[in-house]
Amino acid sequence: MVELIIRLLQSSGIDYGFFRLINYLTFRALMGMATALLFCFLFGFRFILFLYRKKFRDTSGETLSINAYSKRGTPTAGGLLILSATLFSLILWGSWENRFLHVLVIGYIYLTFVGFLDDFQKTRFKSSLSGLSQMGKTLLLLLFLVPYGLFFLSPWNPVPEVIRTQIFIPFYKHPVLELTPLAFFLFLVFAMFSIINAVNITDGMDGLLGTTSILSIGVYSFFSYIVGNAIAAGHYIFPFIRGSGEIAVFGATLIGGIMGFLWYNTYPAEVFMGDTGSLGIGGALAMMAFFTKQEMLFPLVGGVFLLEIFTSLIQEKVGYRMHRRLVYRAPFHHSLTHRGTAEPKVVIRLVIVAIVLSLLSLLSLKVR
Amino acid sequence: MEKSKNRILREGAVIAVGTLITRALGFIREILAAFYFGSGAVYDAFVVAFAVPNLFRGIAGEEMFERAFLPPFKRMRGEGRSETARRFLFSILVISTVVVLLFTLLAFLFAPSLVHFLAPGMKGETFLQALRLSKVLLPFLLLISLASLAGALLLFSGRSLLYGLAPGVANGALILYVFLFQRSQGILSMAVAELLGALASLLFMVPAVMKILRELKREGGGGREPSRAVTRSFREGGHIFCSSLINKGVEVVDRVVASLIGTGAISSLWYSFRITQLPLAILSLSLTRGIAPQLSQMKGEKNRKGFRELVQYGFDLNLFAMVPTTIFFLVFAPDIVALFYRRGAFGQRDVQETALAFFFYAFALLPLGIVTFLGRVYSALEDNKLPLMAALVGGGVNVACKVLLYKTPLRQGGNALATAIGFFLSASILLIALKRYRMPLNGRNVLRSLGRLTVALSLFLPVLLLGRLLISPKAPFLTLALRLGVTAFAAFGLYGLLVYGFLRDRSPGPRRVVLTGGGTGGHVYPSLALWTLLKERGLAQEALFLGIPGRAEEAIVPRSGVPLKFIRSAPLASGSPLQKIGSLFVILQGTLLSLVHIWRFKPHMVVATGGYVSAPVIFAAALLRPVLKLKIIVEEQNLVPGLLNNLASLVADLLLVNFKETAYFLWSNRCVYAGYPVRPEYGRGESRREARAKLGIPEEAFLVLVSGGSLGARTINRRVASSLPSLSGYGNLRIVHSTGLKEDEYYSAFSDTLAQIPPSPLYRRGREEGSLERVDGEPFYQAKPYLHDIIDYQRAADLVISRAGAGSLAEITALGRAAILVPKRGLPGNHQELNAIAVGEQDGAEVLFERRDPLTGEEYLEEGEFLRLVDLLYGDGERRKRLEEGAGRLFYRQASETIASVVGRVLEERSVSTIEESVEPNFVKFQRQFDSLILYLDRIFASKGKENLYCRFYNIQVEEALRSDRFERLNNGIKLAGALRREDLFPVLYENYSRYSGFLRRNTLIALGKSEHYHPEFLKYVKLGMGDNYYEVRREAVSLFRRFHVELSQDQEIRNRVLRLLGQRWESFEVKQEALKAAALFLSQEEYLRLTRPFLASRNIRLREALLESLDRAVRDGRFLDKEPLSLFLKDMLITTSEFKPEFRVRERYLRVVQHLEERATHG
Repeated sequence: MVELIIRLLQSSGIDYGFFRLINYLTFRALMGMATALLFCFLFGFRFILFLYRKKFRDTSGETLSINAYSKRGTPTAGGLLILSATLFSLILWGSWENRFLHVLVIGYIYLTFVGFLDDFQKTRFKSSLSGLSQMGKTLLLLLFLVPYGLFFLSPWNPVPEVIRTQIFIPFYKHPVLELTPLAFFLFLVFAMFSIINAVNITDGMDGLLGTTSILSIGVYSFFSYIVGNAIAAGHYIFPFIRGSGEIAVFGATLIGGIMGFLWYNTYPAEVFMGDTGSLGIGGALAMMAFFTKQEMLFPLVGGVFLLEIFTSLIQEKVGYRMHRRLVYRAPFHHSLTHRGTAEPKVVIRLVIVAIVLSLLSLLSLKVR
Repeated sequence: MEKSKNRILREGAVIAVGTLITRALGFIREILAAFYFGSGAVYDAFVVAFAVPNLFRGIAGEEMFERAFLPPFKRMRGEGRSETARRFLFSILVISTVVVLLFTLLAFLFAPSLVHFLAPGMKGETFLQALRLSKVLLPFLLLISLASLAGALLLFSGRSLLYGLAPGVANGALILYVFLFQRSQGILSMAVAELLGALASLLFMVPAVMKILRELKREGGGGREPSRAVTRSFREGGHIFCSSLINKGVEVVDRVVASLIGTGAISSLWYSFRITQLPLAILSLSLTRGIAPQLSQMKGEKNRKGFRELVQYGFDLNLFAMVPTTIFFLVFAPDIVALFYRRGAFGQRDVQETALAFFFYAFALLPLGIVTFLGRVYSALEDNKLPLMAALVGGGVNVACKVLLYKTPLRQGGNALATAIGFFLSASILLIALKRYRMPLNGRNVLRSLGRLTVALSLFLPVLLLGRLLISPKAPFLTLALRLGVTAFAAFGLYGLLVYGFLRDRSPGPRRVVLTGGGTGGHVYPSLALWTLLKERGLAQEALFLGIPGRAEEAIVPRSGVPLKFIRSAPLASGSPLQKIGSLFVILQGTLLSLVHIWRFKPHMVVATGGYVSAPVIFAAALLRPVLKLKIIVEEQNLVPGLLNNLASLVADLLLVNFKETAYFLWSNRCVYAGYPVRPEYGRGESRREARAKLGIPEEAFLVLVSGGSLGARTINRRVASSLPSLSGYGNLRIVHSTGLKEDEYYSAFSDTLAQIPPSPLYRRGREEGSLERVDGEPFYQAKPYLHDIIDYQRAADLVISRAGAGSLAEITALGRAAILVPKRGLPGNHQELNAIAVGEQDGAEVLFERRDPLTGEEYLEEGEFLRLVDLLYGDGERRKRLEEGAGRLFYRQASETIASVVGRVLEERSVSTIEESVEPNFVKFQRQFDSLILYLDRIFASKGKENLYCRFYNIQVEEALRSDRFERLNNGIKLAGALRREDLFPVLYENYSRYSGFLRRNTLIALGKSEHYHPEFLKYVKLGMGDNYYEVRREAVSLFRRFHVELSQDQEIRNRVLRLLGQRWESFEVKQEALKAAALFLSQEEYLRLTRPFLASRNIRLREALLESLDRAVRDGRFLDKEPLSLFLKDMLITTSEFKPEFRVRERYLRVVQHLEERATHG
């Protein structure tokens, strides 16, 4: 919007020097982040109050009433705050001719909505066991992933045709694998589904998903800036994808929104993001990964997420079959708590791990 | 209110016609002006001169008066203060006149500058002409203000015809004058004509105005000077003025952005908007104006309910009028544009351009209508600030979207879309803000309107689509007009027919009700009971029962006098997938049949009591509901609602439940606790004595009534029959046994029961079939397939043995009889078992659970248990009395009142209070999370509570569970064996231990640990456990050791093992925790301290915790007595921590306050 207003003014002859700032990607990204952050600061508390009064409260835990030590009753579905902040900021600072932005926003909104349905059912039916069934959630996710996969392979995808179905791995300059469209499609659906679920599972402690996702999104934003800049992409030997710089703006704005949310979400949390937030963030992350063709970077960047889902899957699928526990508790952060570490400490420790992983991934920019 | 709906429609129609005439005349005026004056300098001058008066009229004309000044006037009149109203009117008149005159003076003084500003390019003769004309037109300002005031007064006093015609009069006079004098006066005639027109319409309205003033004087009332009201109304006027300014401002932006889009954009937007205005002015605005006076009237009368209903009605009218119009415009956009404009210079390309804008403007129809309507609503509430805010926000978004969209390929369409979006937002804001006035639109009513709209559109849309195929915008004018006209006529005609019914009022007459719900007596009887209740309270006069042939309703309903018609249905819950598909087809058939029956009968409500029989009827009722305006009432008798009732609950208008816990299960979450509708005979009471006298049973006899429901219960029948020898031992015992009507190839109730009776010397065959008498001739036992007057026997009985269906329960509790309930095992959701537990928990009856023979799979009642219960109740009169009282307490006596009152409210469309908090019942929690049951049972045993129902119920289950080969069930069985302290089952565990997988072994050891006594086998299993390869098993083994350490620590090997586990490097910390605690139980202090020194600074905080705990315990138990070394040891302990327990202060205090409040409340 700001861009539009500036163009309008320019076309009617009004021009100031600092108007050219709008052309800079980094400027827009940072302003987007700041706006989203400001939005959360301004409306955060009122929003939490709104959720509380509308009875959007967490229903986990065994006791049926609030006791002094449980998390029960904290407003959930805070992902709506992130969504609003991000959208508002994007409307202002985003460049809306960019197709990447369109798809990212549509996907993000859709997944937030699916998460919202789940949270809505959980709060309405007063039990954490209702909510969308596993099958329902999977179906709704696939309802988005399948068209997305088709879109990715179609000519509407701004990613250049040649590299569309190639797989790159970090620390290596050239594509490692060239898949057939069908194989890539299956890979895409499977990978995105896993990423979204991994992110969803990581949302289990106050501030955990917020902090780790900021790091992952930050890394990917950085990558997308490089990939979208012809000179930088050539210099670092990355495939150049025109227009993907906008992904950085999206990422930065999303980070701003999450940061603003985190203001209220750190321990002890005043609001949870619920599935509303985690599905949306997972989807955004997955889409960013695929748009910048850095899919295989995810195991490195999102190592924490993988760890969480790995332990969950192992415990659930394999352990249950074997009728024994394989890890102390799943997901992984609960194991840490089980051994006697307090929650905020676990969060910070995992964040440290995430920071290290992020730095490593950034390293893969240079070391190839 | 009912009658006024028709009146509103009529007045709206009148205003619409008037508007139509005015527009037509206006159109003719344009044609005339074009004809006489062309479009040269002459007419330019006129347009410029007329610009200011026109703008003035737009901003401060009718809108202002109708929204700011007349609502307070009408309100005062409605309050009965007509004198005040009259004075108010005069004050307004005076002040407005002064203001307008001032304005006129200013315009006169600054006329040249004004003209210059409006038309900077105009010079010379034209400029002078414009100046002259503008001066001539000055009186117009005053005239038009007076005319607006007069018109508004007429509108608000019910003279809508005159109000509608007045502008037409103006136009007519104008046309006449111009026609006559244009030759002599030229363009001047136009200006004078405008003046004369305004004057004419004013004079036209004067007689009526005078009459109204006389009326006001006659009515009198009030009398205080309304100065505050006047000030306030001017303030509101200010708000409206600002709103108009905003709208004008948006129009300007519109033009600016349109100019940026490209050539042709401005004109296409203009042309398309003119067409869009037509339905808005003729339909929406007229209806709004028709309603506005009523709103103020209601406000004055303080008729909240009426006001709300009017708002709802206005919303509905807008919805029903604008949505089809929008769809029509969307489908035929290019054709309509072509019809209106395509001639001469306006070519095909222009049509396309205009159609683009027109298409998107169509989306704005509904929002604009709603904004206009709600604007009047808020004006009636005398709050015009909110509409101003809404206009601001909407305008802002409008502008924002215009900016966002102007570069897109939508071009002027984007511009129009932005308008639609902006108004949509304004409309939403206004709708939501209604809540502030505590009259939000009722969500259900809105949904209902939408439903009706959809039904009405169902015929509309196909006609449109057909037309779309046959019409092309490139066709010649006549063909286009003809086809478009016919399509519109047909579509709107059909639509109107369907809608007319909704918008009118329902005629009164006898209330009709459709009853359904059959299959078994358990569904039919409550149905009939409800009907009787409704009839008694005058809520319904005629009834029709829909059921399926060959079931209980065929037998029972005709006796009650209610006509019975048949439909088809089939159960969905059971059967193979193929059968389920077949059932679906049958249900479809049934639905169609029901549709026919319901349409013919035209009921006002449909009452359904559940069972698959009612499914088709409910579907049909839901489909016909918008058209027939009927109410769907669903009654659920069981604690856990069936699948069908759950589905039905989503469409029901009213849900009646028999148990408060049902609210937890229902998908709808909105239900009313109303108890069970028993037949009225159960409410009125004969005593036991009178009933016995009627049946001829002596007072000293101990009468036992056995009944398994209308179909009978095989387990009960067989057990009672085979226990007759034992039972005959009780001297005065008499049994009446209703065996049930079931007769099929598997089981024939009556004959099978009789066949089960063993021969005995204590009794012999009686005269009637199925009766037995004692040796002394006294009647002992009587079996019958069915007892028609079972209520007499229920009254007469001392003890009732029956199933635990909701109906039987209701009857037993209504009469307050001691009972043994035998719930039918394994029904969907275990609902009878749950009903029984719910009652038994509250001391309302005894419960006897069915068991299942592991070999044959058949259910049976255990003889010993049965006889024990009977003996208990026979002998203990006190206990019987307690049960009777308990049962009586459980019966909700106000069921009839509640049901009647709630149904009445629903019929009047008032809201009912539903169950708020749905508490999860215990047994549900147990089923959902089995471990909570285990915890519960543990708690009972720990506190030495008495053995309760759950123990009994699960005691039966546990043996079977242990024999199961399904992992879940087996796991639960092991857990139960421990929780129920079933040491007798331990051998089963021992036997199978080696085959068990990890979790099972762990749970076995946990179960063993709960035992009250030590068993020698424990030694073996503790050893086995400690050597297990799964850490949780090792942990539990050590825990088991701790429990029985007194006996087990004798064994040297075990002690060594424990110590070895403790010393293991890679051992799980959980195991080590236990080992630490265990070691403290058999080591001396010195040995222990030596061994556990490495744990003082263990990285794992849990180990340090365990160590401290063990030391604490040892000290308290007096085992570790040597203070010095212990203190030294402790000093070396690392007490920095990586964990903590949070204290949520706000929560704590909150809970404390709540608790103290409750204590106060109970203690007064």
